[in-house]
Amino acid sequence: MSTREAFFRRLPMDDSERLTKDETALRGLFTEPNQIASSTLVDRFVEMATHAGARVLRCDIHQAASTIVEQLGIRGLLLYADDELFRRLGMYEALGRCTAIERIVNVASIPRGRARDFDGANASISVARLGIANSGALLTGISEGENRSVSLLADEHIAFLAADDIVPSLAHAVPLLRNTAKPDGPSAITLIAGPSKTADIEKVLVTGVHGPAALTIVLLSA
Amino acid sequence: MKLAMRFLDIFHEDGSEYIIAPTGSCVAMVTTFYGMMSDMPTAYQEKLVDVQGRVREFTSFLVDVLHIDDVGAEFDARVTVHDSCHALRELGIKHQPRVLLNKVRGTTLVENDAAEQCCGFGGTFAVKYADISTAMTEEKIDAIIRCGADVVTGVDSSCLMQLHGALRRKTSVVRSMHIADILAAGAS
Amino acid sequence: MKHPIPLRPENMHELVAERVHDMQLRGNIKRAVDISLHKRADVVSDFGDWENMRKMAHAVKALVIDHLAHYLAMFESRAVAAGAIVHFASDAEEARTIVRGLIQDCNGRLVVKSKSMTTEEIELTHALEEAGITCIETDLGEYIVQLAGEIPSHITAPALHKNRREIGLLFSEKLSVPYTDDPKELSNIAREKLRAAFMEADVGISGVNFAIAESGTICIVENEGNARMSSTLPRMHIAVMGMEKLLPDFESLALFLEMLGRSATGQRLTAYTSLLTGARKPEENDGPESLHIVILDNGRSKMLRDPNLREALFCIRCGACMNVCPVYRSIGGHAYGSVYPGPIGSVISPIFHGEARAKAMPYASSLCGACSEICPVGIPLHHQLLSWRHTLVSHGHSRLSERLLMRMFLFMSKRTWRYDLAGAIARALAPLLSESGVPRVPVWSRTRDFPRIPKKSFKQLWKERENEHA
Repeated sequence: MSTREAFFRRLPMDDSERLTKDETALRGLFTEPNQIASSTLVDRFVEMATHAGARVLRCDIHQAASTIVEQLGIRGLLLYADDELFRRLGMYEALGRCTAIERIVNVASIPRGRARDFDGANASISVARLGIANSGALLTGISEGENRSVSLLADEHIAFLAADDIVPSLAHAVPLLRNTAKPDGPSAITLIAGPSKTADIEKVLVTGVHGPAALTIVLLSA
Repeated sequence: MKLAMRFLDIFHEDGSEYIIAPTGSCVAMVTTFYGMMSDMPTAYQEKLVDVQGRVREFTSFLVDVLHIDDVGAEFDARVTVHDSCHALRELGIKHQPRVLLNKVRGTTLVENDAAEQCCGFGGTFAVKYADISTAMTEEKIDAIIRCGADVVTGVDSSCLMQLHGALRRKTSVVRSMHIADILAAGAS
Repeated sequence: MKHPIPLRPENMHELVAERVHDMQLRGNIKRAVDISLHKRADVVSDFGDWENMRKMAHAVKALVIDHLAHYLAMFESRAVAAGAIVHFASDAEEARTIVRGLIQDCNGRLVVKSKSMTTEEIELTHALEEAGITCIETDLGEYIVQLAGEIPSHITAPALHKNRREIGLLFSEKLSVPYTDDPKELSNIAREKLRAAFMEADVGISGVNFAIAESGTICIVENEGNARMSSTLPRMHIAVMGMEKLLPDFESLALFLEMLGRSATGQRLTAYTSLLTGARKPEENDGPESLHIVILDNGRSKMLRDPNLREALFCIRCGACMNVCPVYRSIGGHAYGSVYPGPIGSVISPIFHGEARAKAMPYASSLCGACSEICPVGIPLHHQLLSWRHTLVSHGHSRLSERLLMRMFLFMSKRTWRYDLAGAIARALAPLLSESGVPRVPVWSRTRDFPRIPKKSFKQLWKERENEHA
């Protein structure tokens, strides 16, 4: 008998009739949690993201390129995930004009297994597909050109998010998750709420442990 | 089990409408823990249901059944409440003692910040893990002293005994009293 | 204060004695758990129907646990279709063998590990070290306890029992760095020491918070980023999970993610929530080449078959029960001697360690019920502790003196005349026991007074009153 067979032998037999009954009963019971929110979706997102330690910059979509050049103070090595939105906004050109930036690397161009060469990059930018208002979280890993490292290895991570892409809670992200977490989808989808942090020492909050020490969200409105 | 069966024999169809106990944990024993005895004979199930339906804790009886909040008591003191675990979590008794105390002339109700925390008694626990029991009580009486009460009260004598001993050893001022004694005070 | 007694559940009474008078330790723990409880209360109030959410969470877990074979098989086939390799381990030894074998097969020498209570349960690190594999804990709290040669003292905050000075001394001693007790500086030291390990490790090992049956996805929540590093940079990722970690679908995941962070640390969401479906895809340029998911039984099937214990499998390892437990607050996690301490630990440790070794744990409770009240999935923990006492007594794990005392009590209470006689004797003897009429009893009377023994019993007083009114 294989280890798998021995394992399943110790579990109660499957009862498919009861399963259907129980699944239906659960579906009937299931409702979306009742949230107490008095502010708008976008304001709530900004409040929660800030509470989680992110910096949020709101700007008009047409100002996005200049914002990133003037306000974010990016210098040194920049990683970025090439997204259709960036192309539309002329982001690459704008960044190229920024003299403080020494090198811009498209993460998709990094050879397999060489991500570690870019550990300690000064900043990285990518596009988040969804914002969750009740926690200020971003859904990442779904945009084209993204990989895991772009939101993990740099000292500061800058994420662009369209204000229209903010939903009230995780329950509203379910269809997107279901559609994306597939054998042919990205192997890693990541919810990001604020910068890397810990409170393991006396519950004192410290940011920047094994991930970016700073998260900046550039919130774009039409 | 034997004592449970004897209790049910005595009180089942004894002609009383209600069975009152001045202790939350006794009532919880009947209403909650009797039902968890998996070896209770089926013959006793009917008796169990009958008795469970009629047994009430004292303050709950006054407030929830008789709808009385003022018993005409008079007691001049700052009083804080200890919410006994079984009364609070198995019977849902929280507001009833406070409703009654609010109507006692001369009594000022003050809340302490550890009201719902276990006093540390817990029955055999107090003997088996005596030092932990004491540590838990210390936290309780510190909160009671901090809130400026003269008296700590509650619905469970074992808790009050636990608190009384520790209070007596720490302060000469604060004492514990069962709520029935407060409600009987100054009564005409 | 030195605590030399080995951290094993059978040593619980001695471990408690070592710690119950340690006021420094008690202060460390109280401060930490109170912060968690306050933060939790803040964020739970985001919702108007937290109690309803608890009911839903309970129902979801009940569905999965009651149909575990079905959901496990579904998870397995979807995970495999996405490119993961799934292994089944009946017990701790099997799990250790599987993991060790996977690492040796790929010639792995260095492993980075993110926080996983399941790997603590099966004592994985020790087994790997014995096989000559270096295994480094990368979660800051776990890193601290690994340096100290201890087990974690809380399931979400491993180093909760230590204050900054103790950690500063530990780092300066073990890592040969100048002393500092500033949390930010200490964290930076850990980051620096661990960075190279992340870059050079052959294998990353993690736990799993939730496993989604509908897609074969594993979900890992964390704040530091070390789990992401461990599951991204090394060429192999091994994820170890208890079989009860399953959820049926993404709707349930959404509910549980709303509840886990809030219950555990008072966070709406942890900094990172990774949803991993298979290993690296051909078009991806980072991520592990292989993802191995090791699904563990190790006594869980025994809990599953026991209606009294089954609900303990609903646990999402948030640690709220130990934060609110008045016993835990007074002694800390190490006093229990098990990697799973506090209320949930006292329910599941007798399964993992065996009844004989863990028999002290279910008694280290006043059964106050605060744990059951706070549990986000509604596990009736204090009822389960009572049920364990019943089991332990019937399996012969109680002391003769206690059984005799209980028999005496039963004897005295069974007949009214015996009970009345006992009372009459006590009332007669009262003047002899002490001048105040309050009896003194060893241990008991150190901190408690027996109520003054009255001159007349309640029955006598009642009779007199009835006669007055007659």
